[in-house]
Amino acid sequence: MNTEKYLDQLKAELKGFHPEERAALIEEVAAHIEDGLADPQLGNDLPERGQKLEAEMGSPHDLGRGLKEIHRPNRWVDLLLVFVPYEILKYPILIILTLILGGLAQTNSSVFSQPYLMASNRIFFLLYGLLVLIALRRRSLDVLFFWLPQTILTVFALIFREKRWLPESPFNTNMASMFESLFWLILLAGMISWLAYLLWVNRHDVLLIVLALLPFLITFGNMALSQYRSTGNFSGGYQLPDWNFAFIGGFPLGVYQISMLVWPILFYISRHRQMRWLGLLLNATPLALMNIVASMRYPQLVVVWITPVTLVVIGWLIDQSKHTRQPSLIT
Amino acid sequence: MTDLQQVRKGSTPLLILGILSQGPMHGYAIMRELEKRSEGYFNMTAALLYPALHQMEQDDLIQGKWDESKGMHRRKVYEITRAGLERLASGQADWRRFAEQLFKMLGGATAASGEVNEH
Repeated sequence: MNTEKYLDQLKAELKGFHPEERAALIEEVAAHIEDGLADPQLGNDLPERGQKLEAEMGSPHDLGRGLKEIHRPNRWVDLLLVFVPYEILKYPILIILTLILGGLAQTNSSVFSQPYLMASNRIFFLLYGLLVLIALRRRSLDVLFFWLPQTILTVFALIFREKRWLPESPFNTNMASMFESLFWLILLAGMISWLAYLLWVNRHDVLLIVLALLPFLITFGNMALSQYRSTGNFSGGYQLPDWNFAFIGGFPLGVYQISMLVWPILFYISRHRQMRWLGLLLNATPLALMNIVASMRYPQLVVVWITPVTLVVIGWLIDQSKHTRQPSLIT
Repeated sequence: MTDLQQVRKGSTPLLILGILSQGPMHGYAIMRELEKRSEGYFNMTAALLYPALHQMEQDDLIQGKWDESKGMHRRKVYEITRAGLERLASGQADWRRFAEQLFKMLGGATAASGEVNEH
C-alpha cells in the first residue's frame, strides 16, 4: 500500500476543512495505516499486510466524502451562497429593474408591468443558473438542492407568464420567438429530469429531498392562491395577511420575514440534523399558517397549504426511522 | 438493498457501542475487534468506520481523546459516554425483542435469547 499517496489523496479530498481539523483527521487515518502495517494478524510480511490493508481502507474519495458529510466544513460558505443572493442581492436587482423599466406600474394580472417581469425572470435565471454552477463546482448538495429548484421555478414562471402558446400572446411575433419558446421548454424538461435523477441518487438523504421539493409545493400554493385572489373572499378581503409588526425604512418586518431570515441559518449552519429539520419547518410553516388562516373559506386552499408542512413532518418521521447518516456495513 | 442489508445498516452504531463498552479503543482496534467478535461476519472499510465514529462523537454517544504513547502518530482513542451506554442498553432490548419475535414468526428456536450481553 502506498501510504503517502493515499494520505495525499485524502488531504486533497478534505479541501475546505480548517487546516488544524484536516491535520487531525489525516493523523488519525495515518495512525490507522501504521497500526495495520505493523499488525501480524493482517499478514506475514509487509507487502501482504499492505495489500490487505489497502482493500480494508476504502477509497480516499469515499472516506473524504463521508467525513465532509459529517463535519460540513464549508457550511458558512454554503449559507452565504444561499443567503446573500436570495435574501439580499435580489432587492438591488429588483430596484435597478424598477428604475430601468418603470416596473411597478400595476396591470390587470400583476402588480408588476410586463417588461419588468420578463426582464426579472431572465436576470434571475442567469443569477440562479450561475449559483447552480458554483454549487456543482464546490460539490455542495446543500446549495445545489436549493438553487436548482429555484432555477426550474424561474424558467417555469417565465414560460407561464409569457403564455406563448396563446395566439394573442404579445411574444408570438416571429420565428425567433418560437425558437426561444422551444429553448425554454427543452431547458425546463432537462432541468426537471436532472433534478429527478439527483433526487433518486440521493434518495437515502430525506433532508435533502425535502429541501428540494419544498419550493415546488410553496409555488403551487401561491399559484392556487392567485387563482382565488380576485374573489376578494379572504379573511382580509383582497389583501392576504402579512402578520407584520414593524416597518423599517418602508420594508415590512413580520413573522414571514423573520422566518425567511432564520431558516437558512438553522439549516445551513447547524451540524445537528434535528436543528436542520427545524430550519425546514420554519421555512414552510409561517407562510402556510398565514395563508391557511386567510383562506378558511376555501377548504381546497387550506389543503394545498397544509402540504408543505406535511412534507416536512413526514420527511422528518422517515428520517428518524431510517438512521440515514449511518453507513452500511456492506463493503 | 435486501432486508438483511437494511437491518445490518441500521445496527452499525450499536455494534461500535457494543465494542466500546468493553473499554476505550482507537479506530483500527475497533475494526479488528468487530471482525474477531463476529468471526468475520461483520466487516467494514475505514471509509465507513471513521465517518460513523465522528457522527457518534457529534451525537455525544462516544468521546475521542488523543493518545500520544505509541508509534509515530497520535491515536484518537474513543470511549463510550453515559448517553452511549443508555443507547446501547435500549438498543439491546429492542434488538432482543425483534430477534425473538422474528424467530417466533419463522418457527425457529429462541436462538436470540442470551446472545446479547447486558451492560
